[in-house]
Amino acid sequence: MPESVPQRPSLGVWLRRLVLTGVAGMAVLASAELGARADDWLFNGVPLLSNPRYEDLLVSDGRTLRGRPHGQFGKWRLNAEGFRGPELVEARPRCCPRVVILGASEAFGYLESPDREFPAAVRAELARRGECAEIINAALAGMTVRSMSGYWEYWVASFRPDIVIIYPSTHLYLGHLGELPAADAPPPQAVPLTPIVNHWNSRYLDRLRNVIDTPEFIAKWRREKKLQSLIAASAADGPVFAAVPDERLDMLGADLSRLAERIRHAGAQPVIMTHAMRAESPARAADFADLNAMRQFLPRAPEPVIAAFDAAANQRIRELGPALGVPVIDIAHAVGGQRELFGDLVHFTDEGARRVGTEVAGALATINRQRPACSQTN
Amino acid sequence: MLFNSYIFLFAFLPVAYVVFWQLRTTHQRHVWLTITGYVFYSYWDARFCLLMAFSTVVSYCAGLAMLRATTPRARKLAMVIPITADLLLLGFFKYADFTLQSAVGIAHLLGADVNIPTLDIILPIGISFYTFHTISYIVDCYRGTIRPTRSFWEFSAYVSLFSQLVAGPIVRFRQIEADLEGLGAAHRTRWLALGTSFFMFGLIEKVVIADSLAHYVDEALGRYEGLSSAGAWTAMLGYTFQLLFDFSGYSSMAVGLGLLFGLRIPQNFNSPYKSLNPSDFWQRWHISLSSCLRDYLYIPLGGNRGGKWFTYRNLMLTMLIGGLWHGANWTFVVWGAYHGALLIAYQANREHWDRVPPLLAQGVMFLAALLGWVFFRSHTFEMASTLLGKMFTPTAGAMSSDPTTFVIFIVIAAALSMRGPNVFDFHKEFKLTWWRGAGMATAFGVALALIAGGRESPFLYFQF
Repeated sequence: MPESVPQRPSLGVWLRRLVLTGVAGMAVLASAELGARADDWLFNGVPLLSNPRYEDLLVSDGRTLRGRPHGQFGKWRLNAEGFRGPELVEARPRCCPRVVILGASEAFGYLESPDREFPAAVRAELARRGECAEIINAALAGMTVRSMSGYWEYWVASFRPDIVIIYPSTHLYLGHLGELPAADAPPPQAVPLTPIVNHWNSRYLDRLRNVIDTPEFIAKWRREKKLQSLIAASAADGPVFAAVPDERLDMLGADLSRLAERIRHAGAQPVIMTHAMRAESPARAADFADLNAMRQFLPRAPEPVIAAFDAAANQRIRELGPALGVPVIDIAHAVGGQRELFGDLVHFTDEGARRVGTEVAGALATINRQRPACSQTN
Repeated sequence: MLFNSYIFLFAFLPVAYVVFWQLRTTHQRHVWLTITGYVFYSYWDARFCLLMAFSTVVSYCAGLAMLRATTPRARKLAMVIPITADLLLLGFFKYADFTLQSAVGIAHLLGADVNIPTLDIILPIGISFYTFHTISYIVDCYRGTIRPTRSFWEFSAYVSLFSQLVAGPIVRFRQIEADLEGLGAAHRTRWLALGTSFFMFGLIEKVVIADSLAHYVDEALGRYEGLSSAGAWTAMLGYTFQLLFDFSGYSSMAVGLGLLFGLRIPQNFNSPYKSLNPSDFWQRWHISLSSCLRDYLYIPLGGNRGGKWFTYRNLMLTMLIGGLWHGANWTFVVWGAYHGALLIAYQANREHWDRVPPLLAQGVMFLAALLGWVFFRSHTFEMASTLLGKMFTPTAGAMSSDPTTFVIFIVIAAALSMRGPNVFDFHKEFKLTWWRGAGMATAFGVALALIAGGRESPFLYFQF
């Protein structure tokens, strides 16, 4: 008996299949969106109907940019004062200092797991040693030492810390810096905090962007293209740096001195850290990819200049500390160049943050014991 | 490559599937399954494909040699030589460092100052599983349980079948031989819905249940020294269910993938936490491994044919080796010995044990399994003893983060695994209905969201 020839499905059957596939696809997408929201709600406490963005973590009060009270995005959670970490403690024992850490994303925490950023590691290490201190992570992503001045003046100083540790993102001084306010300018007026505008966006698609890797050759081509346009756009600021720009080092030194002076004036003890990078100076072959990735933020600085500037800035900090009478914690010396401790050029891994936390906690314990308030207690 | 990854779901699997069903003959499909297996494996580390290829060729040749052997001695040699080669490879890659470290440890205990550097050998993923596949094939050929295959591609497709390559189930050739030989006549749509459903169930078991539990378990056991008694108990309860749903989820996905390619892979988990005694437990937990241990170790050792003490010895030896198979660490050996002791205790007191009310027996067996997992999960004896100490001595300390949600997940996992039907129960008399289809679409969507949110985590059994 001859085999029957399978008949081609009719147009109606095809249409039915098409509709079913479309409905199934919509069901998959809808449940993916619901799944993403339920997951965020369950594991991060994000309300089901909100659509948080990283930018929502920051808010302007008209005088300075600061963390949004109870702001939350992904793994980042802010307390009632807009700082990352636990709520502030009102009553502390004597000689139990309130320590504020000022810095940018390296201190705020970027690649580390939740509660593993280096200020949290300082907190954990001090607790392990039995040392009492309240550690406040007041860092905010993208903050330069220059922008820290207003932040300190109009927000952080009001919490009356005993010790203020500055972790300066020195490399940002190769980028565009805001102007310093004129000395005779009237102080800015406070305005109500801007509320979060709940723009709808798909949280599933946000997640999807994190898992889909662009092939390296395409990513490289896009990076190069973007870099060229950024270099062209920054031409108005000046030419590409051929060497370490001394005037930028001077700006960093002046801004640090000014900030340290203001902190001291408010009755707190300033402490400055050197800045650690994955790259060494001169840069190793392995460092170039990281340095190149940083160029999108610093288009005027070629890779060797970024590495050399960081080394020169750290040397400036080492000299500045004794001159200002400010203790310096030399993190660059302790962990700089150790590639395994960094996830990219400047951000720490969990282990890197732990190592930095241990170093800072050790130095902090010594600094605290030397404070007059503690000496009197003892 | 993981089953729960976008690269697998949207690139590897669609290509493997479409090409497979475009091919017409059994031979072509065997070749394609072999190619996909090697591509799948090489995504982890291409160098170790050579190792798998070597093991495949040696075992295939052993089968041919048995076909041609005219004397019992020749047949025996055709069994012993390739098995020795397989075991030497496994021994080198999995146990060389462990042996060296143990030798140094013993020397130190005896007061000798010996210092042997470790070899830092990378353990090829899945080596324990495909070695078991090849050994079971050789032994079955020798015993005459199966007739050695003359088709190299059929055999290589069996060894490198991606659905069960890196973490089992340990499918024996005889269990899959008929399907492999009939692949050319297999019908694409026959098991499509069933296979998809199995795969979705597995995906949910892994991504939703196991990985949610892992979130709390890993965090708690990462700082086990600071846990309270309640913290230690909840962490170990969480791990007990995490391990089940992780591995059972993987096995369900393997079954589903097998069906999508016209192959029926047997059940590997049958609600093990419903077991009433240790013997029952091992007939339900990792069934493919325990049946292999029974058929290729316990029975050849003499089984229960030599009296009470002889049986006990065989049980203990089998479980010790089973423990060591799981990993090169003394904690696994102790875990194996613990289960050996449980089996012996059950054999010795079977009449009393079987009279215990079922609910109580289930609870006792569950508790016994949980205590065993303490050694299974611990990297060191120090960790195991600390956890056990905290579990049995009231200790103040920390709980896991967000204990309420953690406990809710534990309760759900407990209800499903101790009272609910398992994946195979769900698929008895399976028929695709609109609500099943909607359920699968929903499950797939949720799984995709969770995977994209960082749940692209490896399966626990990959380490073995």
